[in-house]
Amino acid sequence: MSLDNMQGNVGFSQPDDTSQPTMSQSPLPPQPVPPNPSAAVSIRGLYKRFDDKIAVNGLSLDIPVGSFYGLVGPNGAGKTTTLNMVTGLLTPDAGLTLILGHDVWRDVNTAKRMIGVMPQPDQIFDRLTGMQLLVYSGMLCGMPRAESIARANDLLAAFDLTQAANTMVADYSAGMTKKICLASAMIHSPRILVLDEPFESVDPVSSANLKDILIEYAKTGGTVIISSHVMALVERMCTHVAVVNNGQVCAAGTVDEVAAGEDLEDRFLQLVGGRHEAAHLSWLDGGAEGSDGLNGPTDAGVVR
Amino acid sequence: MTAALTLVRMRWALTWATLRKSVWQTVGYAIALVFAVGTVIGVAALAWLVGTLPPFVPPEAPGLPPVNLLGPHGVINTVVVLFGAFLTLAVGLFQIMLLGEGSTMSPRKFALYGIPDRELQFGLLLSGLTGIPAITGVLSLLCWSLAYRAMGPAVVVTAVVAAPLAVVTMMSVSKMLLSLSTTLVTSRRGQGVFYIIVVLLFVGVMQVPNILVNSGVAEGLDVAGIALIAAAVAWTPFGAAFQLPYDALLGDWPALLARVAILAVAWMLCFMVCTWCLRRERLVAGKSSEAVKAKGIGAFGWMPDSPSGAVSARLLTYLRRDPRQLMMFIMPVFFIIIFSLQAHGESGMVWQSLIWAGWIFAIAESNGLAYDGRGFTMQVIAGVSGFTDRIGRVRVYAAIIVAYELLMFVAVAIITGDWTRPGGLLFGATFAAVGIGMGLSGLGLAEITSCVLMYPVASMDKPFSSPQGRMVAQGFFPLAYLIGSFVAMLPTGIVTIVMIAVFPIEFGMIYWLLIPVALANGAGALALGSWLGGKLLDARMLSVVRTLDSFASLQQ
Repeated sequence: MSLDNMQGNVGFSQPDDTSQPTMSQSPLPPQPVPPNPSAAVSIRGLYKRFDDKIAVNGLSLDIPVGSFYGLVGPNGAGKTTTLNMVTGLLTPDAGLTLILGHDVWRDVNTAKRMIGVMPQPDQIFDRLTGMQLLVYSGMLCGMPRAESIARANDLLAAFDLTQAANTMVADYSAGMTKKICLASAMIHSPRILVLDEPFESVDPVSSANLKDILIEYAKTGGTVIISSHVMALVERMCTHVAVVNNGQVCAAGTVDEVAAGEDLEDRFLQLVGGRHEAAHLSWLDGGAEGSDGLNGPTDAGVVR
Repeated sequence: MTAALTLVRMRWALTWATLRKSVWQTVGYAIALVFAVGTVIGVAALAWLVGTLPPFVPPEAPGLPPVNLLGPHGVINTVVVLFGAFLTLAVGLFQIMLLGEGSTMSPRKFALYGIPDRELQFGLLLSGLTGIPAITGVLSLLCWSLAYRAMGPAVVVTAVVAAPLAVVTMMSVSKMLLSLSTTLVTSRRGQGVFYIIVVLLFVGVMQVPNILVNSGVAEGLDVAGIALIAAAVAWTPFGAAFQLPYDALLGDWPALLARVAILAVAWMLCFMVCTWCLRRERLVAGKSSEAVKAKGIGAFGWMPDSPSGAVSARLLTYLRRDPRQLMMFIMPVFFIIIFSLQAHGESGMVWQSLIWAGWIFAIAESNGLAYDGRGFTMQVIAGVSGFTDRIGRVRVYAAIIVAYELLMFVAVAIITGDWTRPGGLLFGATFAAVGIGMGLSGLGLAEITSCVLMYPVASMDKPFSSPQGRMVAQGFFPLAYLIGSFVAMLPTGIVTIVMIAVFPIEFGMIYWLLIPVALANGAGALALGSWLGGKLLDARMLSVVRTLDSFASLQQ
């Protein structure tokens, strides 16, 4: 796949090379590419607008089954909005999403049962213990209680949370909370895992443990979709990556294809732009405004 | 001083920003202003009226001394001092309960800026004094000086000077109580227990006048004795400011200066406690509270093995750990106490508490999704249907309503002695049935309103906090539930009226027929409400999630 594959190529097929327009004919408009039902996730023309801001602008993407797919982009690129629309948590203004060939918005609850969405730490009932939270997640997905309990015990052991099983999640550290959130997304053994910034605020040890579990999951044929703006992580873990900016896909493909021999982070910066020379702030020399900074509080220390 | 004034400016900048952001906030603010103006005008009118009273009135019986109305240690003096002291304490409790730690002007928000503790505390106190409640208080007390106009200009001037002194005392006490509560009570369990105690205190204090009057205790009170109590309270910071005009009337300037000194010392003490709290915060900031443990899976082990059972188990587990929904369990007890004191032997007066309890049981559930907070997203992620959610919730609340009403039935039967009288239990059972019917129909309505009439609530971590936008909605939305509950019980009301109209004489023997009518009414309303609520929730699921996200941002 060429790096010149802009979003339009995923959503639209290129005009046939043999049908060159003649002087008297106008070129054929690009034809929309139908969604791919054999992909884990197939998105066509996803669009979402919030007041004056277009968060997702006709995004199209295919995520292969069994891939470890990284969705990367700067803050405000539309990654979270896209994932929310794909997972049935936000109604798109336009577009189509297939999950394993199933139209998400035709029967959203069925689609949700096919996927495991990792909730954010403030999107869980943290007054439950870790064990209760996992059993709750399993039973909500329609699993029998006994099965939920058994799997919860397995997950707690896999995530090194057995000691904290009877502790309220509200008393967990940030890393433990992320683990329990991931475990709650996995308990019903979905074929697609969707994780939005899973390693944010997580210490390196917990991150490494989470990565091992996700890689293990991907080896069983599951598809993992993570969104992140940490390119080093994406480069290490993912098989495929899509660079999103301003609500559209700038480039998509395998990590090697997108990087094209360069460092992925450098390539990312080239694609999204926005870099500028370091700002020179003349006052950034440790001196507080109107004082030598040693004689007590000044206006610089006061809330403005 | 610069930092202090900056904090005042910041407070108003945040207020304007909030008003610009939300129409509801602007409406709420306008209503608050109307109330404030009304309060000032009302106090001014009352003061004018009081100022026209004669200083002494003839006694009710011959041979008794004239009644001292306006003079020192007279009726007005006693009432003003005691009411002022009560108000000072109530404002402190009210601050903790309903206003709480201001989410925007919390001292913790300024920890990074290196503002000295005294300057920060002074600035926060000043910013509190520039708020609508404080300004209303000062203006009202200034207008109250009109009550003393017949006593001479010195008394009026003293009352004018005393007005801001009283308000500064109220604000200082409030800030101190708030600082102590947030600094000393750090564990989650401790906060829950503290919240329960404060709520019990607040409701109890608010009910004391009612209880005193209805129990007849008020009638037997000795006026002279109360005047003595007021005289003692006038030497405490709570009542000192309200006694100052009378010191001026008596020309007792040493006493006046002594009381002003008491006020000044009280302010200093409150200020010192607040700055101590700030220092202590720095000592223990970041200390993790003791982790709460609970063995096993609790309710998840015995609720129905289904998604709705999971919803029920989660809800029940949370109800046991959520101090915010405590009122549901406290108010019925107060109903029994108050009606028992008013009954004077009429058992029906006490039995009616079962109906009022049924009426208010589901008030919290009428905004149930807001109490769930963003955790509700777990259900949305899992694709749980609206009806499944409603059934899960109804299972828990209906059981609580029925069990609590039955407990109340037993308690009232013992209190009234009706369990010994023939027909007494049947009489009580009729009230219990109507109470259960009321509770179930209210619950059915709550399953609808919780999807459409949502308003922000305090987070479980900060039950005392007041998220922006709560005041106005909390004033109006529960009305929809309260009025709607009565409407839902209309069939029972109509049957009752028909029975009385058609069988006026026999009604005393056939009233018990209302038992199946009320229960059927309640069950029918519950079923309809659950079904409709499920449909509404399915249709509005994502909108509810967005609303809960916005509520969460208000709680920070």
